[in-house]
Amino acid sequence: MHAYESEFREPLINGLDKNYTKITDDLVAPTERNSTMWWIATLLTGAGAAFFVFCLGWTVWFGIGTWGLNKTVGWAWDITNFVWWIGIGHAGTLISAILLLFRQRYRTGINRAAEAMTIFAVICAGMFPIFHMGRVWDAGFIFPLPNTRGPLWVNFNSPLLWDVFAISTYFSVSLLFWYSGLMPDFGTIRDRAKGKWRKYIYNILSFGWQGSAKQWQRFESLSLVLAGLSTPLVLSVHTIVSFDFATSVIPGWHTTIFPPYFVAGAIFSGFAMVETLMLFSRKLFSLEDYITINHIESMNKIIVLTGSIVGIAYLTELFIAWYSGALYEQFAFYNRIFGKYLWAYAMMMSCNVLSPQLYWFKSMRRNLWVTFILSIFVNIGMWFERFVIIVTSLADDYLPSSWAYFSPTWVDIGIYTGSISVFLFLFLLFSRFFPTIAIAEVKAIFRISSEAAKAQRAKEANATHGGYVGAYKVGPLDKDSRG
Amino acid sequence: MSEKIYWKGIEEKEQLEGYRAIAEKEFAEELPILGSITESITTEKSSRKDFLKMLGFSTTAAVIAASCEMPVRKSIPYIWRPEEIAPGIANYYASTFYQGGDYGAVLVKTREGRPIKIEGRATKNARITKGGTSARAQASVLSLYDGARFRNPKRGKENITWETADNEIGEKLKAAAASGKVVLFSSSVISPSTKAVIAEFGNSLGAGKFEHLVYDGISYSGMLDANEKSFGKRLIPSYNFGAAKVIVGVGADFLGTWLSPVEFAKDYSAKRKVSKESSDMSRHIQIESVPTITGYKADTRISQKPSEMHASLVDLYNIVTGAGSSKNEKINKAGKELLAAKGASLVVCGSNNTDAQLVVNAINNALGNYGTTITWDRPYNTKQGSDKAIASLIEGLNDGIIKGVLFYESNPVYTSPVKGLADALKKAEVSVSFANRVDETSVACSYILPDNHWLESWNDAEPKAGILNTTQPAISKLFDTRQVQDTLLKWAGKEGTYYEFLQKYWESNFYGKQSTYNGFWAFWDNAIADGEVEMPATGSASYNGAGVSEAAAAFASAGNSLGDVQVRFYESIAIGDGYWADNPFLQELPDPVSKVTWGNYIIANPRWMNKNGYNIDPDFKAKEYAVAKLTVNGASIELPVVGVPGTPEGVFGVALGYGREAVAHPELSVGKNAFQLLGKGGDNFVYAAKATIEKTDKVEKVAITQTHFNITMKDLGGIKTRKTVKETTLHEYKKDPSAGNEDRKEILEEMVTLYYEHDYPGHHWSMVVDLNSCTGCGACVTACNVENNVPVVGKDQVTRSREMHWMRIDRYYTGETDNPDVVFQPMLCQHCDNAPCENVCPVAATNHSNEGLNQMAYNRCIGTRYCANNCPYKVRRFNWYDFQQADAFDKQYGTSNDMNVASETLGLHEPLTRMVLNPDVTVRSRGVMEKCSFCVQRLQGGKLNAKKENRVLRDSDIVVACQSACPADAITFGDRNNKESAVTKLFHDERAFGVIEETHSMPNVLYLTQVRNREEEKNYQVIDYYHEKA
Repeated sequence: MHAYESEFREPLINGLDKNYTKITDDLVAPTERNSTMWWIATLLTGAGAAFFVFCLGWTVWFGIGTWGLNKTVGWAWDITNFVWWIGIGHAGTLISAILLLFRQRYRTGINRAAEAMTIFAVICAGMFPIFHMGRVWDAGFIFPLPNTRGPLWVNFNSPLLWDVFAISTYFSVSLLFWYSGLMPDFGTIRDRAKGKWRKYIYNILSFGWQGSAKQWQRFESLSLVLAGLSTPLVLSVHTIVSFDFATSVIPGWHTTIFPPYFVAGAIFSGFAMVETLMLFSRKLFSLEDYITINHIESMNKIIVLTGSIVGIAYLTELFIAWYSGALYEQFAFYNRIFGKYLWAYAMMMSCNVLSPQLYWFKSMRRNLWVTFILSIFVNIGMWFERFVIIVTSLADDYLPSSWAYFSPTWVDIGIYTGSISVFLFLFLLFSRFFPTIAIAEVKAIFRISSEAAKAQRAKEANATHGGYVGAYKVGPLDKDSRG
Repeated sequence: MSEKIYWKGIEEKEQLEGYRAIAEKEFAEELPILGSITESITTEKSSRKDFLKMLGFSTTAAVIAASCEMPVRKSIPYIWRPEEIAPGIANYYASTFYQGGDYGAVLVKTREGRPIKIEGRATKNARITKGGTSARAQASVLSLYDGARFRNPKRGKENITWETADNEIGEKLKAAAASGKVVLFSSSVISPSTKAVIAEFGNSLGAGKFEHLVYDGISYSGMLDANEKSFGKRLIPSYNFGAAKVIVGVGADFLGTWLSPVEFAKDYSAKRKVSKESSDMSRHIQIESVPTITGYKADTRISQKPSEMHASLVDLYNIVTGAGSSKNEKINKAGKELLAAKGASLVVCGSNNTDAQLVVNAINNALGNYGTTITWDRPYNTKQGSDKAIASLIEGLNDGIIKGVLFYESNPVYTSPVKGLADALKKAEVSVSFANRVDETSVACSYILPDNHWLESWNDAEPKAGILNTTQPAISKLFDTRQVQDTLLKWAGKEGTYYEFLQKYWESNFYGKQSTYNGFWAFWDNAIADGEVEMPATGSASYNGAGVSEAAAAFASAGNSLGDVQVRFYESIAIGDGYWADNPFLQELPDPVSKVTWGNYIIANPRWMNKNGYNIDPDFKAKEYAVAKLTVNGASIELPVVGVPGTPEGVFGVALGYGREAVAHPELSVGKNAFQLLGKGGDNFVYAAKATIEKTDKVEKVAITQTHFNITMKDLGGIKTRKTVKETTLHEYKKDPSAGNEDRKEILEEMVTLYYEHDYPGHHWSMVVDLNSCTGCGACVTACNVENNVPVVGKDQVTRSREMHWMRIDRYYTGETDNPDVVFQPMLCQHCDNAPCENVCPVAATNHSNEGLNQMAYNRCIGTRYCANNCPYKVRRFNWYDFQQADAFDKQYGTSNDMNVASETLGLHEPLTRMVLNPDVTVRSRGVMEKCSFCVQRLQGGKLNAKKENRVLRDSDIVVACQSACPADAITFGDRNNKESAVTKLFHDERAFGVIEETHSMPNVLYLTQVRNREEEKNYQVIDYYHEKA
């Protein structure tokens, strides 16, 4: 970490009474106390998760016919949900890896939850490619396993196979990254634990963390190595997911712009989901001092950036369709805007491109309610983006004789809403038993970026240099003067 | 006495040492493979650990093996193997299909004794249908295995024995004959022997005690009556569409349903084949109201209200006789063209109005067509019915004159427009239905004596005078049924079976008229083997001009009596007069014009629909169409309204044959019965009527397979049209054979690739479809379904766009909404050389064969559906449910109420019905993708035959199912590596093009441009009628 930070920079840990002990107390507290709210939320989402399992069982038992798909639209909500969840799962890696490499200190407040969210989102995402198979009991065919079936082997030309590798790699690396980061914090919880079993379990979870200098050194190296490994994954996973469409011949899918556009969209939706969750947990677990308005504002800046990239991509697609002179391409985009799915396109455009433009205003960026609503909007918009790409392109492709319309069934809806429940359920379990904020990492920036430390330094500066730190005069720290 | 010892050599006797060492071993030499193992086993002691290992393994293995319950499959070998049956080898038997008024000269394909497919007979033995078949003939094998067939005779609902039935009915018939008379009520009987049997039966009842009434659900009564007046014969002459240079059809759907559509399609398309060598194409003008495939195929289609068509006939008559002209320029032009082709023209009319047919006869006579395109040497026997029969029956029953009724191949309780038959039947002493499946008439009868299915029967047929056909059983009776003829012979007190009667009849009536065979048995055996015998043509008739002027005057005075809202009732290609309503294959066959399956509907003009607030493009709303109430003479039906371009405003069409109530499964009772709306004009029923229509608040789902979408993009930068289909005019074609297809050259030039291309060392299978020939009739679709075990999914699933057809017929419109041009395009897997589906399958379940086939390994498929998504032609079909009961699991559905899978509810899972499945084609399970395989089983069969005969494969060795069924010879299939094959030649034809070749899919199915024989060039622009505002 940088040894020096401008005293004018807004602190990342608020509260003048903070010290290392207080931080530990604050951050471990959610795992040590019971909460009625938590129980209600967990039971509700648990019921939703059970319904998810029920709907999947229904699908497997009766057949994919229970979904709304038809001869023309072979993928709809299933793959829409898959890409949506994978996109959401992008923020974790971005925050842990890329922001770590760029030494963005504000990531420490949110990286743990973001990584957890990644894991859970990828779990949800992974369900869809598996259960959208007509014969899920033969799903093993998709792995290049030695077999007795003669020359039968997987088809390395198929983007679906690339997906298998991309997503399993991403999941493994994310899981490793997340878990290795958790080890010192498990150690901290264990050290405070009172019951025998609690101590025992957290000890196992922490892999017997001792906190020795050597362990810390190895821990730091591992973090860097994993960050290095994950960084290309941030780009590759969604690039490969976009190949599912880009390598096809279907107008509206067959587009070279997809890889960067999908990656930007993924980060966009991932950050929005992190915000939705963080706004909840900072309230629920009283973590306002650690997830500050400053954090929110930083994320909102990324949202307006990626949202605008996505918007430019939408416009570029339209331009290229016009410029190409290709009839089918032109029709695909014309149909997207003015066709039978225009409502979906309108949802996508307004939620993804128009709504984030509010974040050009600082007051909007720092407004919690605006942030919360927009974070939901962005996720709705991003769901519709995938729906628009997948369904409108398929529904009306080359031969008008086969054009069709997709409408979901209750099973489609059940699986989708169920997957959201699964996600929230897992996240609630996580926030109850695991430290939601990386304790060790927050402590690492305490001396530099906390309000308490800055106040201390100001006090010392007043005493020794007449109020000057370096060339600057330090005044009394005043929340209002930060603007 | 001690036992004698034999020794074979000295070494044994003396027990030499070397010998003993060898003799003690089982094998003389050490087994090389077992060397290392045997050593360790024999030399090392097994430890306790080894013992436990072995014990553990064997116990686990035994437990696993024992716990997996394996299904017991019983196969019973033949004790006496039938001479003809070799398992795995199909046998073909010549037979004759004549059901519901539809005739076909067919071969029945049987496998292991089960009839599974109908093929057309070779042309030399099929002088009428010339190898073509109809969708109905194709689908009829399914009816054989219909679980809803009667399995034994019945008295009401009670099962009885044949003996009881014979005794009881015999008594009652005698009583009936004593107090009144007995009537046999049937549709047209074309079997001469059956007619003889009926006569025998009638004679046995006594003179004047028996009458045979003939009534056809779809009536040709008016035409027969007119011919009786004009020619003195109540018959229909032969029409030769192949000899006609100018054809004018007036409301006669001769390619789809009228008279003998398979025969006419064959002749018609032969005359309209266009090539550089011969571009002498006939010209076809069709005057009609509700569109039919015949009108859609015409070079010029004149769209008129039913009320205007009679006036047009009179106008035509005046023009060809030089007596006047028409106000309608198009009619004038048609008349002039007819005159120009005097003696080689043809006017046909579908009207059931005697006067109209009289005028048509006069026109044909004036044009000199009798003797050239219309001949009396071989008149048809397929239509003999009289509309008076139905009234005679009801009146006879009510008046107590008719005391006994027997119904044979006729369902008048359903098809009769006159009400009251079911009630009248109660007054009869005895009423018997010979139906083999439940129908409305059998429900109303006191006895049901089920007839054999035609595939279980011996019979003969004379569809045209002197063309004798034979029907032989292809399977022994499945149930305790008895052929009608046997029953009648028994009741007539005749000894012997109908089979013997048939032979005797042939011996005394036909054997003498031929000279080819010496000896009756040679003649008979050949007749059975060939299926057809031709007797010399003897018929003749001369025109007498009777009644024409009266008829013309009657039309002139009638004027427009039908008013502004007129309804036209028509026969549907699939269902006929309702005879086929219980055949799921035919219910699921999309109507070629409207593309609707499972039910009837009101056809309306789309512009009218727009004006009156009907939804033309209901695709958004899950195919829900607004329902209207159509009232004719106080009777009304409520049906959804479907727009069909080409329908005149104010004209509505309703198909007959739907709304059957007495069917085995409620799913088959779709639509409404329109027979009850038919009115009477003179002696005959009229198929057009004055009506009122009003919109209701109801909506109904219509299982339509192709909805009305816009093929043209008008909104950005002018009009751009997808070149899915290509067409030109004969005029242009003669100037440039690649007319309409000019852009193909550029497309081919741009086809460059960096990738390797497939190598086809052996064969390279390809297909060419001539769009000019295709009539859209759907015979290929049904043939494909039967050949390839394509499942029926039912109305609900079709509404969800999940029909499984491997072969479909796309229909595209061009021109004006009110009078469009139509192109039918059979669409199937294009077997692309550069197939987009192949590279996206993650498990390589769909892959490319070295013969150019894009093949499916069903066992490998995991059902990601990516291939279907990436198919530009959308020909891949996914098994959403276990449609064919082929799953690894037991059947799953039926328990969840939001699913309605017809294959189960219709009993298509029953072991009986599954006997129709083709054993050469895998039955696909739930969750796998399927599609056209180019009939790979036939390809392999053809190759094997050539190999057995040690010769090169000939072009004619392989005929795929759709090609074989096509009555218009639109499909050519073959090996493109054979430079002499027909398909190779067509691949290089200037008219050939591939659909969306721009995607570089390199399809192996090419299409030939549609050529229309007309001077004027219509704007090649595809209709945008759903955006059109009133």
